[in-house]
Amino acid sequence: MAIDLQLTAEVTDFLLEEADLLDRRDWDSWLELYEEQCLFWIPAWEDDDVLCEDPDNEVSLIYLDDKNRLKDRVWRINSGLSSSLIRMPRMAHMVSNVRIKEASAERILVHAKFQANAYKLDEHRVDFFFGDYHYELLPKGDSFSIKTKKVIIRNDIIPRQLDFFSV
Amino acid sequence: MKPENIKWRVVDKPGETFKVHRSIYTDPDIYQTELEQIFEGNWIYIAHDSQLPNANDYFTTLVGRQPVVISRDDEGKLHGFINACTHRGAKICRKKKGNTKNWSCPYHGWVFNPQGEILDIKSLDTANYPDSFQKSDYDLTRIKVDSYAGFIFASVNTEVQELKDHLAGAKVFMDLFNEQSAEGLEILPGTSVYTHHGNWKMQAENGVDGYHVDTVHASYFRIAANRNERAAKEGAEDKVKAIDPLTEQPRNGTYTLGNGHQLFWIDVPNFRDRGLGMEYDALVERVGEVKAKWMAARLRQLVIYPNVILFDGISTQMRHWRPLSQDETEVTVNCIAPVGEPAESRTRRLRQYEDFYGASGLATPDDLTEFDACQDGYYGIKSAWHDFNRGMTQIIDGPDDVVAEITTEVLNSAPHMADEGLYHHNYRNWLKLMTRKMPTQQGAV
Repeated sequence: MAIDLQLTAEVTDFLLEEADLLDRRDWDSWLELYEEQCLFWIPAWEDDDVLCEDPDNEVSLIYLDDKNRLKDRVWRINSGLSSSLIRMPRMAHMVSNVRIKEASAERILVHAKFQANAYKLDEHRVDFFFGDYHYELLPKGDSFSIKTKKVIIRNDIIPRQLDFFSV
Repeated sequence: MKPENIKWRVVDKPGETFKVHRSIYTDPDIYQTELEQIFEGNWIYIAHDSQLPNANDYFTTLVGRQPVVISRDDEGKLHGFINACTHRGAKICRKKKGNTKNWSCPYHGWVFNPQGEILDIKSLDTANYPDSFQKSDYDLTRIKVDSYAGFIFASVNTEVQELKDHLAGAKVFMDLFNEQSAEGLEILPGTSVYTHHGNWKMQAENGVDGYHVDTVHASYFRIAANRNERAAKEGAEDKVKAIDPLTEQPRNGTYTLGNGHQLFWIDVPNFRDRGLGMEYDALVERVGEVKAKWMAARLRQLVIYPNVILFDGISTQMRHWRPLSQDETEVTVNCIAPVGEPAESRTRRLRQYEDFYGASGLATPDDLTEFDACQDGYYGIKSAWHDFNRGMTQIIDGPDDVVAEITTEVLNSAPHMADEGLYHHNYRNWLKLMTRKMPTQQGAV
């Protein structure tokens, strides 16, 4: 397949924008990237090399199947009612290896790799998750919107907390 | 550790006060003694039957510090061993789980069967062992393994009491879980492991702590309420239908069940939104009204001391843990479900599970944050004692009228889930285990 450099550059910029919004905790702008009928999904692992692929019969770490449920998590941060979210980690998301797997006028399927670094202020420690992003993007004006974001975490022992901003 | 150096840390004056010294959460000598006397002296929950269903399946884990492997033979019987080659100690089964007829040690090639018997010693004909050498002396070192209602426990203590005696009053509540399907329960695919900075004993305390629920989980219950409002106003579909036992102040309480086991319960107003509740009428028909109410309409969290909680309420979860140090704990969680439940119930169960539980849910991270904050606070040893006196004057000896419907094997009852009387049982049992005389020689059964 010929590489569409223009599209790859545009998609990469879009993914980097999402990463930056998460790092800057601009949750409202982050939510705007998502379709109303969206899916944010982090499957659990069943065994060393077996990922859970059937969310109706197998466990997911996070399975948010519309935008209201993303909004629930943002509301929770803003509410001040969750002690786990009072001292938010300082984060730096790195996104790379961006590849267009399929592109049409209707949708674009994208695979990328990430490392999301977190400095935890109350624990005085550094944690990070790394793995894969699988996106289904829809063309929207001169940019995109997110229909599906599937995150495969490869180091899945969780130090105390994993939320949408952690990956 | 000498008993007299442990006993003073628990002050037990019935009717007056019950206190523990916070050094029990931070003292490295206490921690070492807990590993020997509790985690390597007691029955420890390790797995569920459904995680090794077939002949020659094996499953590896740790009991205290000790690596173990359990296996199932052709007749379905469970065996358990220290997962270390009897030759030079290399761990034999390296994966979390698998199925094999022969276990070959990857270091020097000794071969064992899943019954622990040594089958082959590489190059035995040129070994030049002394005359006293007996091949059969090199079978794997057995540990105790037994199961009840599908829940598998192991002990590296050769003189531990029978499992059914250890489980005491917890058994009837394990049955209430297991009998939710005529075919028993199954662990659903997908295991999550998380760690936190906090002593393991807070896991056992908090699993039956009704007092923290409305404060620590305020954001969770507000989100549930927000979803209801959204559904009413905008007609937005609520795909989770979170279980919310707090809005109507239903009846609740706690029980102590012997050997450190404890239960906390709340009646659930919207129980028909639960996976099992969706099938409530069929359940009543199969098990009768009393059992059906206990299974589906009454949230229960059962601590089987020292290392597992069976959750049946918000969703269904097996949560077990092992201490990594006095300050660090590793927790393993699974969703467990009745075998053969309808697809709609299964999906609902999963959505409710993911919504609340686990380090990626909307509730557990707040618990973990509190455990960790307590651990920090415990080092402020100038403020050394905390008491468990709430509800002191309303502790009921034996079963109350609610639990009497299903069992008499209850030591104490309390009419409010926020009462702290069940911790008296927890720490009396802790003190008993910590100060008992243990067998000095641990080895083959």
